[in-house]
Amino acid sequence: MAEEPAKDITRLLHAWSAGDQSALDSLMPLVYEDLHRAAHLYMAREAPDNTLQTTALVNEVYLRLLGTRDVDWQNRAHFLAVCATVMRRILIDVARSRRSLKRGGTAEHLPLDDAILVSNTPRVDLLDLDEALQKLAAVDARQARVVELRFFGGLSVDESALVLHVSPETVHRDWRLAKEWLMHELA
Amino acid sequence: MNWPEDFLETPAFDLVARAMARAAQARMIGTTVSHYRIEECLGAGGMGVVYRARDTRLQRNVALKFLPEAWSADREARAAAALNHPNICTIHEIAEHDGRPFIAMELLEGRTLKQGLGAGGWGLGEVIEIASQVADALEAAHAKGIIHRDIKPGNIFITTRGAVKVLDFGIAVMADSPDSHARAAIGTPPYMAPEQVQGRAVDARTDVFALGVVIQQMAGGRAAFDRILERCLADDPAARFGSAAELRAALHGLRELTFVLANFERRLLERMARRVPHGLRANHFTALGMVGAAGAGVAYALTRSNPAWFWVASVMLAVHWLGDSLDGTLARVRGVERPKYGFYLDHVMGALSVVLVGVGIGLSGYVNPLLALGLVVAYLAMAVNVYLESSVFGVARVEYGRIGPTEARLVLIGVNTVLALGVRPAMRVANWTLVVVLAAMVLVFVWRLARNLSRISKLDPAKE
Repeated sequence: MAEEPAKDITRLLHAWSAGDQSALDSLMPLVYEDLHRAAHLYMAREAPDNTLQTTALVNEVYLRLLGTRDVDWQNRAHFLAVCATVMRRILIDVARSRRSLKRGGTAEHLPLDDAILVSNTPRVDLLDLDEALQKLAAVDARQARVVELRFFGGLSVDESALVLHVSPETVHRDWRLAKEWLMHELA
Repeated sequence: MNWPEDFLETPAFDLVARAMARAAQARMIGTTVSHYRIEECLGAGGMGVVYRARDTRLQRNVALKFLPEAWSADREARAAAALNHPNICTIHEIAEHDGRPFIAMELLEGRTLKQGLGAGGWGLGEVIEIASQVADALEAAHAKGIIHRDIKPGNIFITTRGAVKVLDFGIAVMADSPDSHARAAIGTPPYMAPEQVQGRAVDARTDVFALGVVIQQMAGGRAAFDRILERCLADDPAARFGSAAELRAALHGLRELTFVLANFERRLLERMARRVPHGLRANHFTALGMVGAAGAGVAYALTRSNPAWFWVASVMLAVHWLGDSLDGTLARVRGVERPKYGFYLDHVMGALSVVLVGVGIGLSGYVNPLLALGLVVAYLAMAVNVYLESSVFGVARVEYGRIGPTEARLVLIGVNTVLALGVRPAMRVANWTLVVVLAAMVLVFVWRLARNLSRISKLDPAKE
């Protein structure tokens, strides 16, 4: 059953890493459904594991879609990169629905501190960060992409470098500059 | 503007999942599950969420633990409910709510060892005490064929009264069952024995290994535990203690030592113990020493001037000390419980020998007789304290810190020997030594007694 999509995904990942941008558009829906379902299952948990959940979750989806035979780490990094974009959409949707719930009639059922914060001091909302990130993309697309990969996809510096075809040092610098830019923007 | 260092360092999904979990936990507060009204979230982790709740039928507070959906609740409860032991958290009930399994159990006040480890600063006695109680719980579990498989600081709870409770029999298995050969390695990595990591069969010695890791963390590199740790953490299960009972016996052996001379004494005695023939029991020395020292003390008091009795008393006190301490060492080296000879031999005779020798020294006129008397009284008071602790509280000679009965006894031997040698200038030194030792003993005694009295007042016959 998993044979067909697995082949598709592998082929698309190859095409995308070879530079075919349209392959990414075809990949998204293939990953979206699975990741969406798994993410919501994870979020329904009352007792999150203390381990890094993003990594666990994405690994789970990867194994389900591609199986264990596809262990090509370059493929895996590209798969993680797709997940980063998909994850960003999923999480923004979640944050939006919660914000509208808060403004709606059921506010009293929600605990006060219910916004999804990416920082407590100062308080920064996930949706505000997303907006700032869109602005950053207009200034420096690669920096914004690094944030997406690292923050939404949980990719390591080396994995991000592989996906972006740049050196790890470049990723480090982008990551630092991007964070500074975002802090300034959100302040 | 102070931005946190970790800005954006935690992946977004983790933040969201945590926020959602917190919200889900908050929603549970105030709801009623079966006949339990949920009041507060006590903690959450991979193994489930724990709430404080009110049992509206029995009007008591309980802990409700909701397990991850995939987990089988009755496995945990079956394992732990079969165990009625003061060092194992009591299970009241296993039930389901909306298809979610939960366990109602004893609500404990205190903290886990994991939280305690953060605070640091464990006394040697505390380490022995906690580890012994965990070993006790494990012994009870193993006797029923249950292997815990997840002994770690997070699963060891220390109540505000100081009792230790082992929690979370969530992944416990029956030894020799097909489950004891786990397909995949289950457990918490740093605490897992090699056979558990490799998915081979586990048994009592697997838990001994995990407890060894916990002891190592608490002991923080103290040499006193080296030998015990060696026998807990061996890769080969056959080289470990064969049971939790053996480990506990070894820990009890450590308790027997007081600590100024602990390391010296331990090394000396262990070297001797290895050469002692297996049939020999050190109590022969103990008895000889006690009777001999007492006799010499009486003889000196009667003759008042014959210094030969000093020699006899010194030698006999030393023999007594040696026999007494060797007993504990032999038990430890051989991994058995220390033998008991009854109240008279264990306590009264030992005290009597010290009293008589002390009286002898006091009458000798070489040292201040009041000081000698004070030393004897302090020794007796400490001996009573030790007796109280070992018999009433089940705690042996622990936590004396720097000065205890062994030191008092050794000082007596020393003073005795100096006097026997007839070294006159040593008089002043002997007097001052007595003053310092006496002052230290009185301080330790008062502190100790206060602790024990408060323990007695807290002893609740209905609960203990």
